[in-house]
Amino acid sequence: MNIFVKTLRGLKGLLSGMGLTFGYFARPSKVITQQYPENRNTLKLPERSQARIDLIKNAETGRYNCIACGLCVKACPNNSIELTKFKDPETKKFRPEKFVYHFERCLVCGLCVEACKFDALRMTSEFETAAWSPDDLVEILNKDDPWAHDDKSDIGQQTAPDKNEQTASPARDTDRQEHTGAEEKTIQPKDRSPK
Amino acid sequence: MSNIPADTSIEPDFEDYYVNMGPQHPSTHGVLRLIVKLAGETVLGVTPHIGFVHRGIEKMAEALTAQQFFPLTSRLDYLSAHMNNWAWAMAIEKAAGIEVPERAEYIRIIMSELSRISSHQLWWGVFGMDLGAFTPFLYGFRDRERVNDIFEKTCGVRLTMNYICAGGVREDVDRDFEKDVREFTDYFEPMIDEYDRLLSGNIIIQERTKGVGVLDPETAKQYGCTGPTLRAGGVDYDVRKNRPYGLYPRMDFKTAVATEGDSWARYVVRLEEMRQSLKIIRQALDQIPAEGPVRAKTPMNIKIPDGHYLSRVEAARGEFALYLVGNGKILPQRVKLRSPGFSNLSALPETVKGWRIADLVTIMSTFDLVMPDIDR
Amino acid sequence: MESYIYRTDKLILDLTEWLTEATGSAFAAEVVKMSIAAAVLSAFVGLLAMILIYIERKVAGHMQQRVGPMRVGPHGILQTVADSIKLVAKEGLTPKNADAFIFNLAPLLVFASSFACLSFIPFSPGMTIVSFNVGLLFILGIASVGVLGILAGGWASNNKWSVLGAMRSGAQIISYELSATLALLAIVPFFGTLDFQEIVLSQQKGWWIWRAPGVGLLGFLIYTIASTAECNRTPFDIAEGESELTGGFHTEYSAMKFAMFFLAEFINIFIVSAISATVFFGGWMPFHIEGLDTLNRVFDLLPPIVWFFGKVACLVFVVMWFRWTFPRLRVDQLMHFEWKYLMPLSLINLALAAIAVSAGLYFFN
Repeated sequence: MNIFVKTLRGLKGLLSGMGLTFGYFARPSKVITQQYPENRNTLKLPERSQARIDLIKNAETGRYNCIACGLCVKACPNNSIELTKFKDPETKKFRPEKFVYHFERCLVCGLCVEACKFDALRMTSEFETAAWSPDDLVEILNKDDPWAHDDKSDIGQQTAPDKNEQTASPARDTDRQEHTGAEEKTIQPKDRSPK
Repeated sequence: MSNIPADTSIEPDFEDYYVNMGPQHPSTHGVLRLIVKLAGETVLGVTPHIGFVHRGIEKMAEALTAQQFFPLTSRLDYLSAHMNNWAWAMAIEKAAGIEVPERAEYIRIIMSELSRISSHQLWWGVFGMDLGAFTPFLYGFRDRERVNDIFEKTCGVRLTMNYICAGGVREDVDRDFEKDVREFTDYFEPMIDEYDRLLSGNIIIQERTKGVGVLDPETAKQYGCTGPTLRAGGVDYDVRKNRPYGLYPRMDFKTAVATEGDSWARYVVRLEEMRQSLKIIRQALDQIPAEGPVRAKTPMNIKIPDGHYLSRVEAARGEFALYLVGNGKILPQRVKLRSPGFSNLSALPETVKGWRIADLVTIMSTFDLVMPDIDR
Repeated sequence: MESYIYRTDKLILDLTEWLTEATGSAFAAEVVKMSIAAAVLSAFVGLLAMILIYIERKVAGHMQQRVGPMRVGPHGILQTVADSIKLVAKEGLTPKNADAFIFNLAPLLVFASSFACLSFIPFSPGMTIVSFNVGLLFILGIASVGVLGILAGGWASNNKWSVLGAMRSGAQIISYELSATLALLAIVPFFGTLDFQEIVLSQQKGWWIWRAPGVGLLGFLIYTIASTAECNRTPFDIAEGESELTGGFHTEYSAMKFAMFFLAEFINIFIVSAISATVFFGGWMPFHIEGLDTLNRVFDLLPPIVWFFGKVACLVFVVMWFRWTFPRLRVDQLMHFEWKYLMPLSLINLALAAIAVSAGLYFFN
């Protein structure tokens, strides 16, 4: 007798599973597929969605906000940012000569954006970042500055700690704390949620 | 039906038949290599070989500041990224004596439970696929997508969130967060019943899992198994209950425990855990203060004082513990990670002995291994 | 012209007559006829496999809340064409230590056996390529040649996983063939013939699934289960078992050799569904209810070939439905199920059928 009960119960289980799949089969309205490249124009990403970093320009002056302080370079766990700076003779302030972003090393963790005190960096949701070779992923972010044209020939030679005064290259050695200037400064949680 | 005793006698002169399961194999879920000794279809022994995705994360921690190590903890067990972040945050907070705001604590709980659910959803789908049913995989991912959407709205990222940080969480939640999460809990509760309908009620699943791969509580304890793998054997150990952290003591939930210790018990425990997680999320949403800081003020580079600090969390796969040794500098002297997957995997050879190849897949699936977590 | 669609037997007769006149001898006419049939069948096989693969993908997609292929052609109808071109264009590899001759022969064996089976299927009145008085038995015999191909392929691949898959498949198909045959045999006493066309004609008054009281339904259920196992389909796809054996017997196959296994799988689904439709659901015979002549005439409006393919399509859908719902059984459970449940059940079914026939216990006799 037991076997009949078991068979019936098993059959019921099988049929209810089949009912479920048929239910979805019979209701095409339940389809959740998004046809990605076709719906590119209507694709809505959350505002906070982060895919890569970008420099912020001041809307009035048209200049980048970045003052090449190197905080982002220090915050990055992976050396993804290389930064050379120079003193602008007009404003007597430092400006980035080349802000090189190594996307091939980037974890998109957002620590650089968090570290930036000058509202110069942001995360963008530009997620289509595929490239043919790792070299294509190295990008100069202040590309609108006339001196930082698309010459990548000298990029990548500064991965080792550089004694060059003008580079704020990250220091990977254990005594980094001795030359981290921003140690005592505090970080405020940034409110990126839309008002 | 068809229990193969673990001590299936094989004639001594039987010619040994070895097969390599992995590192490229659909059901090792990553790059795990199992050397399987077979007699026909019966598994005589299994030797796991690991380390294919060893990245030396423990060593890397020694060259990274507390902040910088967070993204790497997300990449251990990438399915419980929030919990791993939390473990590291907890260790740092213990070391530096940082108080976490109440709102942040609640957000942490909600996020952790959501990622537990999403991890189990993925596991459920993959479990179905390991047993030959492809459809659960898609259903599991369909529901997981909703959790990921919530994560993306708040954390900006879908998988390796890096959201929980020392002193709280990185930023306040999205304005739609509460609505989204409540919607999700309401949506997902009936979906678990659907899961039951498609797989749990299926007699083939029951035949394939009931009594298969029994891991008795004593062996499990000896190997250091944790999480659903241990609780399926009847050991009521859950870090959230037994060594409470965060605001879990305020939550009213039950530890999902089964008694049989077989694959079916592990399956049932995980499904029950999803229900309990929903319960926790609902409570946390009711209790969370509407306003308030979500992050304590911390220096950019936190100095880790001399001393030893241990933190443990209940990740989706079991107890994730983190041992931190500081020497007064901003870089830790030593970080030791105790990942649940590693201990669970070590109990696998004991469990699969005498079962069939198909059962090896079932057992491995119910152990829910994630290789980056094991290899670190 | 129109009548030819309904009376395909007339079409075939006229064709034969015309060919005999044109060629001058009955033998030559037969040769030409067979050549035409072979050409048509080859085209049919290719087309059928493509359509079935496309349908399978769409069915799978919609059962999983997806849409299936959408890109190549409208609603992806050309997807399988593109895939076929890809498979043809790929390099056919033979592993270094494989037994090259057997390795290359195996897919042909599997494919040939499926192909041969098609020639017995009654598509429409008179439209059977080989009319044979023991067609049913013959088809069951030929179908099992395919397992040889699977065994040979798995063995010759010189891959341990492949061998495991081949052994599983051998054990499984040989076991389930018994149930499948017994389930069909239980219906044979009712119509007392093994010729497919006569089987169809015997169902003029009603289909055997319900005309044979209980036995028909039980036989149909047993046959559905056993034939699913014979086709290596989920929940009995242990021979492929992609999550266990990474593809089983066809792990090492690529390009056209793989395509042949793939093609054979889908043709087999068609064949078992066609047999099931013919034996249990009246084949090309339209659905008739005694006494309701108006309704019967409405049903007769559909040509027999539509009835046939409609029935087969429904049965194929059921097999696909199984696949996208169920997990797979373990190898020993499979054997258990066959030898301890299915086989005794089909024997009982056969005995019941014998009693029913000798007592005249069936409808519309």
